[in-house]
Formats: sequence, C-alpha cells, structure tokens
Amino acid sequence: MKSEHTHIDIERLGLYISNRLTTEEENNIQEHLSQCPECRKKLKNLRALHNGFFKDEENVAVKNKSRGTAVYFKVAASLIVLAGISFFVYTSVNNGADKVLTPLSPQERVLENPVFSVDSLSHKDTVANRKILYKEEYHYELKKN
Amino acid sequence: MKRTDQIIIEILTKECERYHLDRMGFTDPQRLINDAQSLMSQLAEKGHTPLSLRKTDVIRNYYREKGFSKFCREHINDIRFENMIFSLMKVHLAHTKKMNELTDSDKYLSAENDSVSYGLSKKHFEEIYTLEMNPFITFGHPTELEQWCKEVISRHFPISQEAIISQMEQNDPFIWEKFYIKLRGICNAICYQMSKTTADNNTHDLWSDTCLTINKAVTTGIMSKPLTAKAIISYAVGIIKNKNKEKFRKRKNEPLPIDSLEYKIEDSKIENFFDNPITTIKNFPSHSFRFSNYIDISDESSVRGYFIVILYNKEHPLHKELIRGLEDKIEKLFLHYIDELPYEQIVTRYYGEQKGLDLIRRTAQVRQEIKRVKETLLKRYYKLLKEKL
Repeated sequence: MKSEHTHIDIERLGLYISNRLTTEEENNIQEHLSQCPECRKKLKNLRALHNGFFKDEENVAVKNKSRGTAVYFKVAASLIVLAGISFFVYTSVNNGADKVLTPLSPQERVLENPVFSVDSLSHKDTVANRKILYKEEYHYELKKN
Repeated sequence: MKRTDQIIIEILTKECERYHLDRMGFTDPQRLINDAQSLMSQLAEKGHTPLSLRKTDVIRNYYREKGFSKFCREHINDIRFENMIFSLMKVHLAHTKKMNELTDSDKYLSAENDSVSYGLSKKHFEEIYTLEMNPFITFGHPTELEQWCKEVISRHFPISQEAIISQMEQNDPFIWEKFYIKLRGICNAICYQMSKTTADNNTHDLWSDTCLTINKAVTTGIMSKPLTAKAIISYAVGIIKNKNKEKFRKRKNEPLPIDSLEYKIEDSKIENFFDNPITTIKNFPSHSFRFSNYIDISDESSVRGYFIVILYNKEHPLHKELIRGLEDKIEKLFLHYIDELPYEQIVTRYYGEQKGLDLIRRTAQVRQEIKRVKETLLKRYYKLLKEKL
C-alpha cells in the first residue's frame, strides 16, 4: 500500500482505469486516493482524456448495437407476419386443392367461376357458341361485328 | 469535499468502469452521484475498520437495493453483458497466469506479458459462456460474478500444450498472432548479434518471412511428430539464423558503391564514426521499447489505456514520438478535455476577444483542429504499436 508521501505512478493509474488490477490492488489505490489530492488530480485528468478519445466511440457502438438489435427485431417481426400470411394463403389454397385438380366440365366451370363462361371458349370456338355464352352471362345478344 | 464523499464517488465510478454499468444501462453518471450521496453516511469511518471492509458492506447494499441480481437474469443474453464478462475473465486470466508457474507453452510460444495457455479468444469465450452460463445462476453483486469467472477459469485453463499445438496446426490466427509477436523480439535480437542490423524496416522482412515459413511448416505437417512448443520455437530460431547467414553471404559478395568510399574525414561527418547507433548498447533490442512487454495487445481496453498513459506521461520513451509536431494542438486538446474549457474560451485564449461571425468561425476551427489531432494521434499510436510489437 502506498503511503501518503509515495505517489502512484501514471502507468499504474493507467492500469487502474483499464481495469487490469485485482480488487485488492484497487482497494489500495482508492485508499491512497482518498488521502492524496495530487494523485486524484492525475486520475481525473487520465479519465478525462480517456473519455474524450473513446467515450463517443463506445456510445456510437452501443447505439449501433441497439439500432442493430431494433432492426433485427423489425426484420424478425416482418418475417413472422410474412410467414403468417403465407400459412394463411397456403391453407386457403389447399382447402380448394382437390377441386382444382379434378378437371371441370363446362357447366361446372360456369358455376365455379363466371369469368370462365366469358373468357374460356369451348372446345369448338364457333360464333354461335360465343353468342350463347355471352347471352347467358350478360343477358343480351352479342352484337355483330 | 469531504474525504468520505471523495472515496464513495471514486468507488462507484470504479464499479461503473469495471463492470460497464453505464454501457449496460444499469446506471448513468447523474444517478451515480445521487447514489453516492445516499451511501455516504453508510461509509462513515467506524473506528479503525479498514476501507476495504467498509467498502464491501456498502457496495453489497448498493447492488441489493438496485436489483443487480434481477438485472443480470434479464441481461444474460445481452451482448453488452457478455462483453463485460469477457473483459472480466481476461483480467482474471492475466492474474491467474502470474500466480501460477510458467507453462512450457507460454515459455516458448508467447511474449513476456502475453499467454497462450491463459489466452482467451472471442470464439473460445462464446463456447465457454454457452456451456457455463444459465438463467438459474444468480449474482447478488459483481463480486459473485467475479467468483464465478474464477471458477470457470479453473475448470478450463490452463489450456494444455497438445490443444495449443492442435490449434496451431489448424492455423488458428489467435495463437499464431501471439507467436509472431514472440518471434519479433527474438528476430531483432538475433539480427543484431549476427549482422548488426537494428533498423526495424530491415528486420521486418526477415521476421515476416520467418513467420510465413514456420506457419507453413506447422500447418502442412512438415515437422516431425509429436510436435512440441520447444520444437516449434527451435525451428523458428533456426530459420532466422539461416536467413541472417544468407544475408551476410550476399552482402559480402556485393561490391561497395564507389561513392561511399571516403578518403578524408570531414568534421561534419565525424559523428558517423563515433557513437554509431548500430554499436550503441541502448539500441540492443532488449533495451528498446516493446509494447508486448507492457500490455496485452489483444485486449482493447489495455491498448486504449496505454495510449492515454503515453500521451499524458511526458517522461514516457514514446511520448515525444507520439506528439511530434502537434504540441500546440495537444495543448488545446488538454485545455478542452482536462481543464474542461469550452471552445469559445480556448478561442479567446489563443486569438483574443472575438465576436459574431469571427467567433463562430474560430470556434469551428478549434473544434476541427481538436478532432483532427485526436485522429492523428490515434493513427500514430497504432502505427507505433505495429512497429514496436
């Protein structure tokens, strides 16, 4: 333990602020600091310089980590929502899967999806067929072109 | 300020520094001062009880009231908490190394202030942390955390020589970097003795060639098995000696350039023949400064702390080299950070009373100067670190 008349050298104070000392060594330094204004001033100056050079870096690093963490959670949340939507769509599609797989007759197609009755033509694409389909759907005669 | 007040503020500031309490969000500088005030009466001197014992009770109460235990449980997966434990473990490993007998691995493979047997890479730490840490472990205060670190260290260290050699064979950069630093000092010493070479740029090439050669020899299995630390260092020394012999042979065969031949010694050139830096003992490598003899190069806080020591300590051997040409700007830097003068007052001190636009311009100039000098100093320091490993 340092006496009142023996000051702590700057290298030892450097180890103190870098957390390189044991708890017992730190206790000894703190005991000396409580009695020695000169060493207290040296320590204050070293800390001020250390914070001046490196505190901003640490704060930016912490913010970036926090930002990084926030981004991570946002991305994770988006993925979960996307997974949920995908699951929903998958189950909805799968509920009609057996009907989609079996070929539909023209009548069934008409009942299933009215669009087919206008856009999908029968195997015989004749004007007569087209007129019939158009009338059924839109309830009036297809005008002659 | 009373002595008790000073002690308690220093104790809490140190706790904050040691356990990164502000970085983790456990406290901040303002709360620290309020906490210090409430603890002052508890730390009042009681008879002849030493500070260390009084401090222990006060600190335990402090952490109990703040809920340190709950804080640890909630932050076990926080990267900042992990980083704090990583730095604590490295400190304890360094002390454990000092307390125990030097291992053969450290004797042959690492520099004096470094260790491969007690070295902890980030990857190794993450493995240990995953294995040893769980939410059921409670830490009432940081002393229990430190005790836990010591117990973990006793289970996992020192790393056996076989494991270290195996890592070297798998080209683990963590171990190899430590060995290269060890080789640097040896290389300089042998070069000096064999060929009187001291200039770092001359030995650098030889050192880097040696590192490449030894790395290849170990990782490709050229060396005879079983491989030991002693065998590796002996092989490396052999390479350095052979390269020096080669260099010496080449130099002997080269004719002297005609312009270098002197027929008359002029007064201005006398100094070249006396006090020659090559033959001066103070330039012998073991006398010249090496960072690896003082700090753990792989530890960021150690490296940063030493930078501040060199900058602040005018008697440090590297101080002049660090600040050369920047003395005026460093004075401004010290006025701002140490004397806590705002930029405007620094402007007044250097340029007299300024007003309006002139004041704004000068203030911005001083702010930029200080920012640039910080960057320059750090660049120089890292360059010195590389040169004087």
